[in-house]
Amino acid sequence: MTEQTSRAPSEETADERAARFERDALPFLDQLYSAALRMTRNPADAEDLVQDAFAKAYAAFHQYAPGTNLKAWLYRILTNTYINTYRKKQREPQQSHSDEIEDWQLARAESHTSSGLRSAETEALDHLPDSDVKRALQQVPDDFRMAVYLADVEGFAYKEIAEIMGTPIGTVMSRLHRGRRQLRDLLGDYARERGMVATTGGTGGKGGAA
Amino acid sequence: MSGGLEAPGGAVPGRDEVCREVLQRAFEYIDGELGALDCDRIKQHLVDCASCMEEYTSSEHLKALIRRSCACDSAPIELRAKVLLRITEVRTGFSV
Repeated sequence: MTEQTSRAPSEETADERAARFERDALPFLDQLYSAALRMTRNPADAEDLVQDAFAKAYAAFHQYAPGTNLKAWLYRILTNTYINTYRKKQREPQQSHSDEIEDWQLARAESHTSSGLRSAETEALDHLPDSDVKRALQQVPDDFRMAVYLADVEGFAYKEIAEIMGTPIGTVMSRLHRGRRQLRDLLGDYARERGMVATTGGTGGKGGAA
Repeated sequence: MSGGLEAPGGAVPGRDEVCREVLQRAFEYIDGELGALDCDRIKQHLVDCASCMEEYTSSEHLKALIRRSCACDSAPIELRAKVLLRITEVRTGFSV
């Protein structure tokens, strides 16, 4: 008991802690709900997940060190809760292949010949409705989807994402790569379906690998 | 552009090699994860290389699109009350 932080959580009364939680943590409700919606892919589960996560967060709130990143702390609880309970419940075939798959996709990211969607055509994606983007995100495997969401929507740093997801930074980066690559392909398909982008008639890519 | 990184004299890496590295690191660049030195190198290459620039721009574009489309959905109004209720349950469970 050497140093006194602003307010040692252990000394606060239950009322004080509840008030502090409501004041500091509860404002993240909308954000956590959005994230939960992207994770569970349906509103009913998202609501349950958010309630469970907040209950857990409150129960563990004395462990949270004031002044550290509360948002990241809450996201870690949300993510853990999702992985430990909801994901087991939801189990879907597309989750199984998470990390092993598609090294060819990474390879593609590194060459100019890359995706089915030509770089210049990504501008066409601006005209896709938000619902298409959300739908595409839903089709991306869980771990990739979360990495992309945390980085692109929430703006977390790789290090924070690594902590939230409980993985090394290298894994975060590879999930991001793969997730974004898949998204780009999916969105390209949607744009083509909607006639916003010409159906690729064998565009003369640089490398010319068949 | 004073100081900064000089192109490594003599053993200049092949253009394709540089492109590959730049594209590999483009996401880190876009995500703000690179140090100043690496940023300078990549920026410089992008200025010189139209195809990398195109690829980079589209990656940046995609990131912005995802952010915009998935921006905060607001939680149903009653969710706040449900959460507060859960907290109270946890509390009463604890304070015996």
